[in-house]
Amino acid sequence: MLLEVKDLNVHYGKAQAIKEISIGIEEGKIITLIGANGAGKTTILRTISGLKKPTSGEISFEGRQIVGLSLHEIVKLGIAHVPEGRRVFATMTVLENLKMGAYLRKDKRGIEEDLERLYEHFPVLKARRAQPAGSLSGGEQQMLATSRALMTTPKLLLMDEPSMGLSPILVEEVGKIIHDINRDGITIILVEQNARMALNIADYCYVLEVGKISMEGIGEDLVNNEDVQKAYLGG
Amino acid sequence: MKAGNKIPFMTIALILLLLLPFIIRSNYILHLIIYVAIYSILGMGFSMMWKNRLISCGQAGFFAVGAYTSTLLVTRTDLSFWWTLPLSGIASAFFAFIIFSAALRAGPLVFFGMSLVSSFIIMEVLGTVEFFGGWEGILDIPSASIGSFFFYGKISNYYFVMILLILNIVVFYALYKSRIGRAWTAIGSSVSLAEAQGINVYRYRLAASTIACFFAGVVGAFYAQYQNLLVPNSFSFQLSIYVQMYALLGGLSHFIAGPIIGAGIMVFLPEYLRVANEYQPIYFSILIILIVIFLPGGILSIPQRVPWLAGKFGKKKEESVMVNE
Amino acid sequence: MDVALFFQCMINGLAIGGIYAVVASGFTLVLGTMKIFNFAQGEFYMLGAFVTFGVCETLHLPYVFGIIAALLAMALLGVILQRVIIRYTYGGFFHTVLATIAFATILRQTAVITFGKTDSFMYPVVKGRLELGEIILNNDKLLLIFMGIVLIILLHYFLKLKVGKAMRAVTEDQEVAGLQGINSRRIFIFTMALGCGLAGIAGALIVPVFGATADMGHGIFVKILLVIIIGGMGSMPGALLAAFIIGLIESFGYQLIGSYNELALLFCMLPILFFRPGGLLGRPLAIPE
Repeated sequence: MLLEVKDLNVHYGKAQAIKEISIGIEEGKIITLIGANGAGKTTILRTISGLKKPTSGEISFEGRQIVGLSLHEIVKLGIAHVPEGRRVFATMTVLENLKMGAYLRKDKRGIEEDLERLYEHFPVLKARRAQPAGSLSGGEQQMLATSRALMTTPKLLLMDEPSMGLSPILVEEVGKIIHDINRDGITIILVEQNARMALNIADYCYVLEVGKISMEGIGEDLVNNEDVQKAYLGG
Repeated sequence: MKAGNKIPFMTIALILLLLLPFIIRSNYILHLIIYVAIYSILGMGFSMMWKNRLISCGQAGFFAVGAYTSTLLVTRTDLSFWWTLPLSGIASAFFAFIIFSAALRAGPLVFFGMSLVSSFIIMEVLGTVEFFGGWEGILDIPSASIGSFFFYGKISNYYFVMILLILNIVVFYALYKSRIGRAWTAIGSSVSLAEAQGINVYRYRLAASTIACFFAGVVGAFYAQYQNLLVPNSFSFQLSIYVQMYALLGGLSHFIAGPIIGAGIMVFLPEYLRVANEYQPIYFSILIILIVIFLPGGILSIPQRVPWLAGKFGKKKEESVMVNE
Repeated sequence: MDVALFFQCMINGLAIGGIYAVVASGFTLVLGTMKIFNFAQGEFYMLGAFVTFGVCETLHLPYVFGIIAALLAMALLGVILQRVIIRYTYGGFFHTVLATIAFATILRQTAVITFGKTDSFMYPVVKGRLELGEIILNNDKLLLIFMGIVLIILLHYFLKLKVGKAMRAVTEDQEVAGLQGINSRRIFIFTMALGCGLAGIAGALIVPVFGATADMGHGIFVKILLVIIIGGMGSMPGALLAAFIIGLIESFGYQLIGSYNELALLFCMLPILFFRPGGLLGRPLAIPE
């Protein structure tokens, strides 16, 4: 197991957002968390990346406890988080955004190489590298946010609603990008509203309902499951 | 406390207030109580804005506008003081309306800055412009009078200011219970949620700050005739900070009782400790820092903090002052 | 207004504007990055001036050391304020504001008790004046303008460095900056040191021209507020532009309309706020909820 979450409880004030959740992911896989709004998907990601402190429970990454570590220590271990709503640094240029992703890295050559690779993958980022990130379109911002996360050279990538607000064609494109990233050996936890896309590319899937896991299994099984079809795939 | 229990309680409090001058018999203490009332009114104005999550740093300025309006009208024209009393409120409210209608468009942070800047500039103008009497101020301001009765002594002024205070409390209480008050509460708990409910946040905030400054102006008029002199320096920024501090010390989530309790403590405490005037701001500041760190909810939050008291007095649902996690 | 007077006002305005610009840019850095309204900024400026005066006049060290001492001392004091007080004001924005107000009051009142309220402590560095025909320019004010501009340019390049960019990232989105591995705690300490240090330097620069007085922090703080309100809260270019505009308005205004100057300044601001709520070059910045 690359990442193992055990008996996790998270509260916002007095409200419990996550109840006794345990999930695990092996290296090189994609897992996805699906569920309605407010089911706690985003909270799980935020807890793993250290943005939110859990009330109790364990999170181990490569066998090491990471609960209580500060954000930058978790980034250094190799966990990157593409937050919901992309949240690029709007007034900074595209290139500056990418360089921020490489903030902790000292290898100048490696950074340059990674930049070139990303530019090859996303030519639009190269074309707009001197523009403020706020001027990009939604899809371009998603590419930028994902690339920025990749610049931290993560082993595990947490993606929160990458397809949110994108047109159906772009959603497919996002699916392809996630697949490509995974093929390069990066493990991915994907949170999605768009359950069909998520189930198609994921190796394993958890369904969340009000802070609890209500179902889990291999993507194909869940696609054929009646309850899942009714609730998340539009019948 | 249930609503039914409130009426006898209020009656006793009122009778006590009425008899107080005869119980105390010390002019000096009555003088301090008059100050408590003045500061309470200013503090409640601050709290009304705070209910909308607006931080006013300029209550002293609007207090000054009221005081000078009344004084100039009384001394330069033949207008009776009783006409100038509402007029000074209106002048202060008008001034606030102009400044804050611009400032609120830019949001609470600019409101905060503008309230401070305008009160500072008001003081500068009162001091430097000849028309307003300059830094030496205006002397020999006549006291208010009814027929041949003049509000000279402490006792008459005590009743005068208590009427203002009670009027202020009643109006504020009624406002808080009304539809407007509920809108303010909504804005206070979450601006974006309030907007989503269709509340025009800008207008409600402007209303709150104008109303609060109206009362600051009225009590300013009272202050001028009570003191019989006005000096610009007594309306300095420091006064605005003290007003904030009273509200904080009493309890920021208690919009009426908080400022009164805070003012009561802070007016009497230094008198009994006999702190040298020079050092007073330093001790006050240290106290502010301690409250901010150790008792951010003010004195009225103590019952909720102590478990066995909470059972007895913890009637009020805690209105959180925590802004960020 | 004749030509000589015009240039006199111009130079005065630019000199004051430069000082406003330096103090306000420090304030803006702290406000933008940490969302803290640092009321003590004016008092740091005042103390910086006294530190310089002490180092130069009492210890007889060269002026440059005075400047450096003011920078370091105020940076340190700023960090102390952040680590000892601000960090614990978990009640939110208003509580932090009150804490900095209280801190400012302590500094100011201590200075007033020690040095007297209006006594001016001056340490002249350059003397003489430049005469171009009718136009007379004081050398010390020219030096002030020069130093102000140099500082602003230095700051501009500083913000292009990696740490400067990290500060900008934290300014925009603290959480996401953290997700890139930026240690915001360290950035905060650094920002506080820089922001307060800038106020210290500005104080050091003013000593040779106008001298140090115990209540000068209060006056400049109000001007800084004007600067950031007009320039746009948290906007650095806006603050710089507004600082010079206000410096010039003040110097010409005083010459033209005397004591109504301040009132005119206030009413100049209202239409700006009304039609450009974010200030000249900024977007409205929200109080963190």
